[in-house]
Amino acid sequence: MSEQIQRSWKINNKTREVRFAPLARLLDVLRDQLGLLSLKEGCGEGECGACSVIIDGELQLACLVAAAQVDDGASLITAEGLEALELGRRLKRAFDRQGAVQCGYCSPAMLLGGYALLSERSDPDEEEVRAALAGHLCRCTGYSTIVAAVREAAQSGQEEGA
Amino acid sequence: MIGRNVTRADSQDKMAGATRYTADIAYPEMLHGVTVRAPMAHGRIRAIRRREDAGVDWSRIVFATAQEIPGQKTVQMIQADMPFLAWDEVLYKGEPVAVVAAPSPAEAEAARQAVVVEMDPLPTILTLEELVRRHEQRAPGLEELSRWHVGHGDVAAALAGADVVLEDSYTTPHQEQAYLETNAMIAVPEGDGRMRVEGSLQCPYYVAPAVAKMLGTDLDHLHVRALPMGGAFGGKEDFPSLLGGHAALLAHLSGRPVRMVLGRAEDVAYTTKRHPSWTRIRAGAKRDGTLCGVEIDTVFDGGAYVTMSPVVLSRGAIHAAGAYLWPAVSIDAVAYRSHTPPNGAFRGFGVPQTIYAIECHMDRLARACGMEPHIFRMKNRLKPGDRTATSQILDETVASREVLEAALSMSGFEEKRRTLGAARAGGGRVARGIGAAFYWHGAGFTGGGEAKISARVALDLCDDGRAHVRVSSTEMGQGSHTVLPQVVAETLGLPLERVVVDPPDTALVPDSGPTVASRTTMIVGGELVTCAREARARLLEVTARRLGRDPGRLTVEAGEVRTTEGEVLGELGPLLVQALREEGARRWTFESQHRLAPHIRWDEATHTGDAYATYAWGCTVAEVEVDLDLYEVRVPRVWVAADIGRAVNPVLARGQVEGGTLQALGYALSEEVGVRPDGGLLRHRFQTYILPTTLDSPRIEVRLLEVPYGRGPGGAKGLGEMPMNGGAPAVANAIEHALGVRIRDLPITAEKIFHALGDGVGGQIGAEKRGLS
Amino acid sequence: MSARPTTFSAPTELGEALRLLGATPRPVILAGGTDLWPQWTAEPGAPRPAAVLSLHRLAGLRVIELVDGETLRIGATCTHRDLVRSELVRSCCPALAEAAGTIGAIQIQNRGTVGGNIANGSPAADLPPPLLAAEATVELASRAGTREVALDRLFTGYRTLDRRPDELLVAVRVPVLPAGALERFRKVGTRRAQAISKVVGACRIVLEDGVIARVGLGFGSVGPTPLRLRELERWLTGRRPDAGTAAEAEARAAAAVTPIDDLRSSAEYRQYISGRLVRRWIEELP
Repeated sequence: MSEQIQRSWKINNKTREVRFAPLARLLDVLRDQLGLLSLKEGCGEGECGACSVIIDGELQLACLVAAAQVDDGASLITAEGLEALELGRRLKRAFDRQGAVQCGYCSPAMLLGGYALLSERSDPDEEEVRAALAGHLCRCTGYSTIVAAVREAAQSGQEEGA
Repeated sequence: MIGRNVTRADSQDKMAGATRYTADIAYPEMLHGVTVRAPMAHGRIRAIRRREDAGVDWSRIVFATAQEIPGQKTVQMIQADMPFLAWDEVLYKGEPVAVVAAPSPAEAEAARQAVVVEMDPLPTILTLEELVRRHEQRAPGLEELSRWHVGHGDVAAALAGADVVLEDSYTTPHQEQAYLETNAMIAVPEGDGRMRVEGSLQCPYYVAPAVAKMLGTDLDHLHVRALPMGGAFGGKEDFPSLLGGHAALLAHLSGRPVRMVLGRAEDVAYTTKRHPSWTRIRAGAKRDGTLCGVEIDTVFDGGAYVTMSPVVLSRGAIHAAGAYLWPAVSIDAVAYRSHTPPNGAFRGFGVPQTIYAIECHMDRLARACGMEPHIFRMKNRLKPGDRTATSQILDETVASREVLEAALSMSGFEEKRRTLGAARAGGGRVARGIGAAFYWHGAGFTGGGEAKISARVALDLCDDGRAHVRVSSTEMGQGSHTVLPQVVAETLGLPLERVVVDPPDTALVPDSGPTVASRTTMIVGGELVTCAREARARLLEVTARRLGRDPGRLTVEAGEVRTTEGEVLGELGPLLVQALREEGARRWTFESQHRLAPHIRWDEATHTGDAYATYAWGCTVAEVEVDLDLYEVRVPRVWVAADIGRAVNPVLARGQVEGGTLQALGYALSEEVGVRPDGGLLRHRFQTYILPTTLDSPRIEVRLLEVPYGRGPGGAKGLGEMPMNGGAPAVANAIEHALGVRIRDLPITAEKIFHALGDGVGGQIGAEKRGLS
Repeated sequence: MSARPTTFSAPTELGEALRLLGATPRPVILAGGTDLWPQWTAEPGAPRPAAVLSLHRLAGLRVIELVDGETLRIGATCTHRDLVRSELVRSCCPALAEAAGTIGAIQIQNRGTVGGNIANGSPAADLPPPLLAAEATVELASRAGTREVALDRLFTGYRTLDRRPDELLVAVRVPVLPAGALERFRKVGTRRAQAISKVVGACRIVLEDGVIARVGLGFGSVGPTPLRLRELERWLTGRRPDAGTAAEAEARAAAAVTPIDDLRSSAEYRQYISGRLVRRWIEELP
C-alpha cells in the first residue's frame, strides 16, 4: 500500500518495527500488527479507557492517538509488559487478592492506570486513586475492589521499601 | 472450599491481556460482517437495493436478505415473532434488514452504506408516555405483548377499610447494560455441513436451536460455544441468537468464517435494554401502620418484539408488592409494543422497576401513618409462614428481619434519620438525607421454569487426574467458572487445581439452562454436588476394591484417601488415574438432572403458588448530599445487607453486591437513553449515556448474611441480580429526606430536582418557600 | 476503495507548518486529536480529511513562560496536564489550572491541548471561560505574520473563529493575576469526570477598598460560543459585593446567557445555574 508510515518503537522494553496508513489509530497498530490484544476497543471515542497505554511515561488512550504522532524511539508500556516490572507484579497480586477482576475487560487498562499513578505517587489516598482512575469505566465491580487493590499495592510497596 | 476466598482461575490471563474475547479472535479467510438496518421506526419495505455507483465491488461482498435464509426466518425465543431480517413490516428504526460480509471491515462498511432500504411509513408509538396515556384512557392502538395478573383477596374492601390510602405513580427509563465488551459473534463452517457459532453469549442452548432452525439443520451439525465475555448482565441473553444467526447465515452462504463485532454506538442504539416502566400503586394501611391492601397497575414498554417480555413482566409482577405481608393484593401487569428496539434482560429482570415503585411508595405510606419508614418496614415485612402475593407460604429461609436489622445498624439509620434531613451542612448550602429500601428476589427461574429447563449437568473424572465440569453455564465476570469448581472440589475432595470447567460448547456439555435468573450457583451448583457425591462414592468404592479395603471405612480428606483410622492410602488424583486405568476407561461420567422440589406447586396461568423455591433478601441504605445551589446529588456512602444463603466465595459474592449496587445508583441518578421523534435512541454513545466513574461512586459497605437454603450448595441461594433492586429507591428516599420533595421519575437528575423545587429561573424562590435556603 | 489515502505532515519548524497551511489541499490541523480524531475514526464510514498537519513535533509550541512580567504566554500544544502541573499557571491564572484538571480524566489531560480546546470552537469547551475572565488573547500566526486577537473577539459564531484558514493558533497570552485579585471556576457536568459541561464558568475579580474594581466573567455551554458577560461586568464595576449586589447580579447573569435544551440539560436549569454561580462568587468575596 502506498503512503505507509514507518516507525520504530520500544514496546515493553523490546524494539518493534511498524508500518501503517496515515490515519491509522495507535490502537489498531498495536492490536493488529503487534498482537498486543490487551488493549480493548470499548467505545472507540475515548470515554471508557479500555484502550489505555503508557507512552513515554504518560497514560493515553490508544483509540485517540494517531499512530503517526508517536515518533521513533517512543517507549510504550502495555499490560503484557507488567509482569516484567516489579510494580506491575505488585499491582497484579493486589488486584487478585482484592477480587478487582471480574469480566476482565477493563483490567489491563486499569492496571496501567494504577501503574501510572503509583509511578508518580507512592502513597495516594482514596480520593487520589479515584481521581487517577476516573478515566477507566468498569461496569462489573463498582470500583471498590479496584481502589482497594491500588492502595494495597501502594502499601505493600512501602513495606518492601520499594 | 465453600466459603473460601479462592482467587479466580482466570484472573492472571485477564490481567495480562491474554484472555481471548471474541474480537480478539481471527481465522484464516475470515470475513467481516455488518448489519444493514431499516431507516424508519415503522413501515413496509418497498425495496432493498444495492447501489452500483458507490464504488463497491459487489463480487467481493456476501449479501443476504430474508430471502437467503434456508430455514426458519424468525428467531426462536419464547415466541418466534422476531425476524432475523425483516422482509415486509419493519417495527423499529435500525431493525436488521440485510447483512453483508467482506474481506475487510472497511469494505464491509462501504457495502453497508451502499445498500438502500426504501420504505413506506406507518404510524408509530414511540414512548412509554404514549403507551401509558393510551393505557389509562383505554385508547385504541395498543398491542399487548404479555399480560399477567397476580393477587388474592378483596382489595377494594381492604382499601375501603383502611385509615390511610395513598396513590401515586412512578416511572423508570430504559437502562443500557453497558458491558465493556460489545456484542460479538463468529460463525465458522467446519466442513461436512457442520458449523460452529461462538462468541460473547450467556446461553449456548438458546443460540443453538435458534440458529439451527434458521439454517434448517440440527444440533448435531450446529454447535455453539460461549467464549469469555467482557460483561453481559442480561444483554447477551437473547440478543446473541439474532447476531449469531446473522453471522451463521453469512458463513453458510460464503463457506468462510464470518465475524461480526458491534461498534459501541451501534450496540447501545440497537440491542436490548431494560424495559421502561410505569407503575401506579394504590395502597392502604391502618393508623397503627398495619398494611391493609394494595392495588398495582404496571405498564412495561416491550419495544418492537416479544423477546423476553413475558418473563420480565412475570418477575416484575410477582415482586411488585414488595417484601411485605398484604392481606389483599391485586397486581395487573402488561407489556405493550412500541416501535423501538426490543427490550430484554438486564439484571433484575423486571424487579428493579417494580421494587423502585413500591419502595418509594412504602416510605411515603409510612409517613402518612406517622411512622418512621424503617419501623414501618420491620412491622410489615414478610416472615416465615406468611403468604405472598402469589399465595406462596414462605418457608424458614426468610431473612427479612436479619437484613433489615443489619442494614439499619451498619448505617446508623435511625440516628441519621433524626439528625440529617432538616440539618444543613456546608454553610447551609448542602442538604443531607438517608434512605432505605428493602427487597427480595426469587432465586432461579420462576415457578415452573426450572421444571421446564430441567437443568442437566455432567462431571467427568478423567485420566488426566482431574474432574471436568461440563455445564452450559458461562463466565461473564460473575465468577461461575471459579465458584462451580469450588463446590465440586469441596464435595469431591479433590484439590481445587484438579477441577476444571470445560468450554460451554453445546457439542460438549449438556443443557444446564441459561446463565441468568440468579440460578447458576444454586441450581447448577446444586446438581454438581449430586454428581460430585456420586463420583466420590464411586472412587472410594473402586479404590477400596483395588486395595482390598472396606469401602465403608474409607474417607476423603485434604485431597487424600484415608481410612477412618487415619491411614493415608494415597492422593486422590493419582488414585483416580489408577482406578481408571484398571478399568480401561478414559473417564467416568456422572450426570444429574434438576427436579423441582416436590412441594413446589405453581400455576402459570393464574400466577399462583410457589413462585420460587427460595428468595434472597436484601436491604440497601444510601446517604446523599444535595448541593442546594446546583442541585447535584452526591452519594458518599451506601450500605447493603444481603442474605444469599451461603457465600461460596465471599470476595466474589461481595463483588456482585458492589457492582450491582453501583449499576442501581447509575439507574437512580444519571442513566437514561431517551427516544428521538424519529424512533431512534437518543443517548446511544458512551459520551452521552452517563455511566458512573470512580468519582461518582460511593464507598459501599456490604454485609453478607447466610440464612441457608437446603438444596443449594452449602446453603447458597441466588445472588447475581438482587443487588440491582435496592439502590434506586434507597437514593430516591434519601433525596426526599434531604429535600422534602419526591421525584418519582428516574433518573433523579439535578434538572428534575431544580424543576421540582423551583419555578424556573426563580428556583431560589421555590426553595425559600420550603424553608430550604 | 476510491478515497485517496490522507497526506500526513509533521513539521519540526513553525515556518514549515505555516507554509503547509497555505498549501492545497489545505490540511486539517491536528494537535492532541481528542476532539477531531474520534470524528474521523469512531463511526464507520465517517469522512476523512485529504491532508493532516500534525503539530506534535513543533517543540516551540509547547512552552509556558512569563513575558514582560505581566503576561503568561502558553504555547498552543501545551497539554491540559502541563497546565495542571505548572507552578506558573497555578499562580498566574489558578482558574485555568483548575479548569484543565476537570477536562476528561488523566488520559485526556495528557493529550488534549490548550490550542485545540480553543480552536475546536465548541461552546462547551472548559478553558475559554477562565481565559475570557482573565481577558486573554491568542496569537495567530501565518506566513503573513502574527496577529493578536482578544479571546472574546475570537469566537464569531457557533464553532466559527476569526481565524483565517492559513492561520495557526500558536499561543495564548493571559494577563497575570493582579495582586489582591482572586479567581473562581466551576464546571457543572453530567458526572464528576469524563463529562461535557452543562454549564462552565469562571470569574476574575479585583477588589479595591471593598469595592469591585475590575471583574471578568466567562461562561461556556450557555450560548452558541463561549461567552463573556461584558454588560454584567460593567454593572458590577464600582459596586460593593453585598447581598443586594449578589442577588441582582444573579438575575442579570441568568438573563445574559442564552442556553438551549439538549440531551445533557435544560435551558432553564442552565440559566439558573449561570446566575447562581455568579451570586455565589460575589457572596463569597471577602
